[in-house]
Amino acid sequence: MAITVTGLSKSFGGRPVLRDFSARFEEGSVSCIFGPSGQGKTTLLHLLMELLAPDGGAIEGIGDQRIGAVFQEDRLCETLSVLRNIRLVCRKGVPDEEILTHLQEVGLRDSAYKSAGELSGGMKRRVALVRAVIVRPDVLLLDEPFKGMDAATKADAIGYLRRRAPKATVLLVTHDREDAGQLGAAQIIELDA
Amino acid sequence: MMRSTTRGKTLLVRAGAVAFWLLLWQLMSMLIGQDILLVSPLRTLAVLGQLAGSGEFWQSVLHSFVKIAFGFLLAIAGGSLFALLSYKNRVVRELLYPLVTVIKATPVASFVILALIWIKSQNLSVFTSFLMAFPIAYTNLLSGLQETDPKLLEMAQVFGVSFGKRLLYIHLPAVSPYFVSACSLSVGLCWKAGIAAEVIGLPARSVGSALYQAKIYLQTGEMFAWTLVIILVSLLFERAVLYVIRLLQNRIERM
Repeated sequence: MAITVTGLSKSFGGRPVLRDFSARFEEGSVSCIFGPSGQGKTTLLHLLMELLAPDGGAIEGIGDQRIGAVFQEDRLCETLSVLRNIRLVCRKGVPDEEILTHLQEVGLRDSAYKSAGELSGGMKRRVALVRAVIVRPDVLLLDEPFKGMDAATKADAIGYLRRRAPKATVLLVTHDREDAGQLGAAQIIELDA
Repeated sequence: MMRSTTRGKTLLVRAGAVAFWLLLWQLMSMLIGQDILLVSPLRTLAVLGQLAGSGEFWQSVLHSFVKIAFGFLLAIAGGSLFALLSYKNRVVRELLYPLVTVIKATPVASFVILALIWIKSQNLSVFTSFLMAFPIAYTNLLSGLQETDPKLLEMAQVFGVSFGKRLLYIHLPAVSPYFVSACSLSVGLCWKAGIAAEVIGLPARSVGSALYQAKIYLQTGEMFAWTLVIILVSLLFERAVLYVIRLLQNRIERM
């Protein structure tokens, strides 16, 4: 189902962050959102996640869809193992082997039983990506998901994303314009002042 | 290796400190020279040995332990439940605020004397230790719940994580240090207040009653021996509680 955003606006402490933003995200498409810091990219994702309420405008078509998300921060439970962090969001009955296969695909199978706090920044990012993808989302909201990854790891992560979530509607916030090409983005959105 | 050496040194220093105070106590009692005023540590141990030979001693210790431990566990369970309800519902939080404040500020003696009108003296120490531990458990756990990382809760909301899983894997790690601190703080208080209640209420076969009897007959040696028992049982109980909590924490982290 396509997502339609109409005239969306949001302010924090009287300072407008997102102004009259409209867009349509087709079902199964990849859209990349670029723009300098503070122009409302993360705010837009949080509005789509319903973590924030808009000051004005409307969002249609996302309500009943299953969402997978990579946040700007990793948002992992540091004391829990990588496996447990991922299991936390899974439905009942997902076998460990399935989670381990996903971790294998992003090069983290050996780290499955380590606590998340022991991982490097790039590894945590990959765990967050697996967590978003494993729920078989209809919509993937990704905020700088490849931050802290070297070129090879990033290529693996993009390959994993395309392989495991081929039908998801993807909204990707990134600073790297090459990501749009590698993910086959159908739509580029520039948010600026 | 280095860690065990440091631990060994710490234990040695602590043992030295204990030995210093025991020696000072022994010297003071020798200086005063009257057992009725200050009995020596050696005499206290001797009296304790005599007391431990009777079945009544163990019955009294068991009675007081069961009642005080029950009051403590009830308070921890009740404090946890109400902290959770207060966290979820502001009305509950505001309703409980004056009650918890009053419980915290009211002297133990007032509660005990009032409680004697309502309940049997046999159960007085359950009630008193409950009242000591409840506000600590409630306040600490509520603080822990409120300190839970809101970003993790947002993540859970987006992924539709169930309340049970949130509680176990997001709230519990945040609450854990507060819970340990609440248990550690309240165990000692429960014993102090529980025994005080027994001294006032005089339930049959209890440590408090024995302490009172010893005071009536000016048996200072027995008073010291019973006090030593209270300290030892309280410390052992605290250690046991903290050990169980650590076991549970490890188990949850490994799940």
